[in-house]
Amino acid sequence: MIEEILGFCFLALTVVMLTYLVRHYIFTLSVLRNVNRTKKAPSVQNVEFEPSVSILIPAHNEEYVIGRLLQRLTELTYPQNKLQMVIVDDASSDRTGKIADEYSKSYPFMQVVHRAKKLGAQGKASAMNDGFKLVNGEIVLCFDADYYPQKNIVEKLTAGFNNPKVGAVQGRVVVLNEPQNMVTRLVALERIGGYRVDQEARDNLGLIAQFGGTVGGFRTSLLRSLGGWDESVLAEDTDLTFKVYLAGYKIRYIVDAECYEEAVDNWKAYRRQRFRWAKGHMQCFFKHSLNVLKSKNLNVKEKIDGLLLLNVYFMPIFAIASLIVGLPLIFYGVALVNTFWLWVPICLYSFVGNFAPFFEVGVGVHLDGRTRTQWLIPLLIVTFLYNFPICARALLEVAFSKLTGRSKNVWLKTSHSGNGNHYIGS
Amino acid sequence: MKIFDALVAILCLEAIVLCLLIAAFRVNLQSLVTLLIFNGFFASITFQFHGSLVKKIGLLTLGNYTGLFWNLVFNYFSVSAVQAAADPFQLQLFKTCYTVFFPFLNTLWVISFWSLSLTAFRQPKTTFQEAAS
Repeated sequence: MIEEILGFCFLALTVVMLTYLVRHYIFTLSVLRNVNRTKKAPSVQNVEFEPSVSILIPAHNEEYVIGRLLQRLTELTYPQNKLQMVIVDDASSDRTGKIADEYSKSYPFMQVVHRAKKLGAQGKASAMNDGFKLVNGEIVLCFDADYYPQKNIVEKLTAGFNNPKVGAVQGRVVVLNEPQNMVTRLVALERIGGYRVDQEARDNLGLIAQFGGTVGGFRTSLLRSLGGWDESVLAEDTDLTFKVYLAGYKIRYIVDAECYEEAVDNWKAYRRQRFRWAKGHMQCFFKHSLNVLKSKNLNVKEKIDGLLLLNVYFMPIFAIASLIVGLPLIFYGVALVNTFWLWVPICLYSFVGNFAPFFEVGVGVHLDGRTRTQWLIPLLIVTFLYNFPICARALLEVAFSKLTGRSKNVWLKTSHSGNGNHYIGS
Repeated sequence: MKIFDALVAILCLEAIVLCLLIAAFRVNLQSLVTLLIFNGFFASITFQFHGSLVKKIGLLTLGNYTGLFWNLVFNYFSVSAVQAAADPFQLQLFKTCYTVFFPFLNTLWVISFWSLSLTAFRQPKTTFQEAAS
């Protein structure tokens, strides 16, 4: 009996892995086909749409990077009379607020919100909601303080809103400090897989394109009707993604709207960031799974993709679980199907690049022309192994909070050293 | 030149078929399946990149022989280990490890070879231009 249950579990886990493998394979082929057909995302040239835009920038102790972003925002090519910038100094104890104040004195379209110590530093969503109260543009765009956008990024992003069904847009995140060390190089590979192939494919195929929390934006009216950012979940971006789709709107991904980020540059920071993402994503899974299934605003393929997207941080756990379940079955020679055939999809999907399989990352790297970076793809096995305990801990915490009803979200902020500044204009 | 390219391509395809036959009859079925998966990935993804067909088929052939060599070595190792096993428990333990590691280690050569082979198809750099300018 136990053998049969274990065998069934192993088979079920393999089917899940196979589903993800096929999904990402389709994504990869879709992007390659799109590139060969030279189909373009909504381009700036053919869109005469110039709405008023508010840019929201939350910043908590970002003195090393905030000046770089604010300077860049003064250089944007979008008409300044249609721009409003709201910088939320989230109870910073360093010079962040002072730097923002200096810019706001010189540039009247910049406003600074200073959050008091007792209210501040409670997470990005809380800071965003505070800043959102001041927003008066038709479109609200968000940038994290460590980002460095293209000069014409506002035109590129707002072009997506030309379609009334589009409620939100997302631009591409590119790692600025990629050559810094091995961690930044591996993060860059993950980002390439996610943004060059995964997001673009989902946009091409009419699936769930994801709002990533930064380098993107919403129709202000829609965001107000959705109640702004949910402060009770750690992945407020994924939460908003599903709220937008459930409200009957779409999210457009605009691959050529690039923004450069300072990626985490050590394993501890990587762990903290991924833990926050994993836990937040799992919270969204429990919050939205049923709504996705019941929704009348989503078609079947959007529902399937939505569920797979919500499940994605369970994958490293499933991969290791299949190993744990599979070992006794193999040892005692019990298997519903020859175990070799079951291991193949698990290995191909998960072990090298658990969120975007190796071929997806490889194609993204190739399309970006990063000849030397692609040699590092086999090393993605390191990030897979590192993600397993992170995701397992996140699952335990989410399960514990579900069982006990006690939920405590600690926002572990990623600190930025300004090392990315070195790569700008070099 | 075109005839020469066609001849090279045909020769490479014959070499790949030979490689698959050796894997099927002289190694084991799992090795054949691994090579077929590699060929499937390579043909469906890499063949869509810009670059000459001869170069692509040449790399595919090289990949097949790399995989065949890998699997032959692995097969010899497993045969030796089975013969050296002292008792049924050790044998069973080895079989378990073999079942787990066979696809895993094969994935590693597939990924390593595939990612290295991408270097042969250069693409102009398309991102990061504005930040670095």
